[in-house]
Amino acid sequence: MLKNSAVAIIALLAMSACQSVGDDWLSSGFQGANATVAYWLNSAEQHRLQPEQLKQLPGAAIYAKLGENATATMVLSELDETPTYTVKRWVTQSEALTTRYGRVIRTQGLGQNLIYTAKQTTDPLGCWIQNVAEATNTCPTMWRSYQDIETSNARVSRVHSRHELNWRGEERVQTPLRGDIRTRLLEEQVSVLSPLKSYEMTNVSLSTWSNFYWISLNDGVVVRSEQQLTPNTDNRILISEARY
Amino acid sequence: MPSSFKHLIHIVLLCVAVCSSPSSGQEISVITASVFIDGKQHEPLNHITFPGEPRLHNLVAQIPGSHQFYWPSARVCVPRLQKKLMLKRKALLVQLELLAGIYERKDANESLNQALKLKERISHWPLFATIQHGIEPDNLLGNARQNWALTNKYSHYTLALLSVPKYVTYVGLFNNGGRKPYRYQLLADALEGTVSFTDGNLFEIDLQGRVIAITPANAWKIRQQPGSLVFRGIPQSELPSGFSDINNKAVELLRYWQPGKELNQSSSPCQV
Repeated sequence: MLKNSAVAIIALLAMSACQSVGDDWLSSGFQGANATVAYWLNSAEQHRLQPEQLKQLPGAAIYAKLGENATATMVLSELDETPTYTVKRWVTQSEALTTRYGRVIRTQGLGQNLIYTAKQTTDPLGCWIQNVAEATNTCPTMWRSYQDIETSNARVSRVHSRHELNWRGEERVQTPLRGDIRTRLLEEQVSVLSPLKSYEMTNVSLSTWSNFYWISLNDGVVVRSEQQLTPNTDNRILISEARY
Repeated sequence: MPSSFKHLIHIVLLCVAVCSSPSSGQEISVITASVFIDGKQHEPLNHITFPGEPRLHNLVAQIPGSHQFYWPSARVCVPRLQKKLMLKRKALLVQLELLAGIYERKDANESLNQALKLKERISHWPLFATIQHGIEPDNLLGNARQNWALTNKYSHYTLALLSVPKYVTYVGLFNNGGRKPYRYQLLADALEGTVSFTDGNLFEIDLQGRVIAITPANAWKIRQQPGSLVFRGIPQSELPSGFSDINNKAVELLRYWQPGKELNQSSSPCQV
């Protein structure tokens, strides 16, 4: 009986090893991130991880709070880093955010989703981040773009917008693992150039708003941001560093 | 040697054989893929080879700067599906020929012209079969169902996508059909004066393959969408019995219009 059990257990172990070989497709080229995804997707806990739990993660993570929803911990699943941009994909089991230099350029799995952000190559945000410690600003202050938004009734609207960036002084930001970080606050004033009609949105729509980016003076990391994803008032997201 | 130990060795050897066979490369044929961006072959990605068992993410990850593309426009074509789509088009053209014959016998000249015009136009539509309409690339790694396996059943995959859709394309029986710059406006405003909304022959097909019938009830409520198609078919009241679904069949083909292609342009090749 014991021998037969041993045979069965060894066979099962061999089969499970086989399964893990088959899971090689998870590799994306970013060390640690896939293990993070696997950890996250296998975890029943989907809300705000505590510092001790964050320490156990093998990769980076952020806290994200959309509107009045509970804060979620999102893990870095992919990193695309080139000399001209840094793009990160953050995921939970059912949602995803893609950021470029901290700006959310695409979302997935939310009520309304940002499916496209235009003119990324002329976005000055990366320049401002790279020059966070400079006394005088040499980066463009204005940017025009448009975003395609898939509304909750599965229709796509294109929203043209005008963005103006300016420094707003220094602030200290608390992070769960790196403690108190000295940052410079960047304000981005956004004006919608083609406002959506109110009946196309689920709630009141905005025609102007401000986005804020707290950028570490030490390493140029966006440790916290507040961004309006769409003109819908519900779609304001707060993102903060959980694990760097 | 005890028989149970022999049994154990057999099972382990069997498992090792099962596990090792996919990576041995002896029996698995190589899967290939090519990428078309904005209708043009993307040179660095004109012949990607995947040893082993790739998944959709492996294909998507090949595209540099993928965050800059318009993923709802993504199409994944395989030759076998393309062949089926071409047969579907052929069947519809035959039906339109039969319909034209009926109109001819009835001396319904206007309807005859419409049927022949529609047949001629459909024969030039840039159709591109696809396994799915649009890809959501950001969470593929965490979603095995969306991150499906590229199987050697199909051997070659063609991924086509757009940088960004800038037009709405009017197809079928419009007098001034073709591509028009996308504007943020109601469908009724875009179509005003050119069509009647009560004929039951107007449809919108969006980039993700979703179809809505344009009616007096919704034409003044919904706006154009970037990259969508608007189809004008034969008025429903003019279709004889046995042909009442002919507009729907045309719309089904339009779900496979290659995004970004103009009227009469040929679709991208779907094979090596």
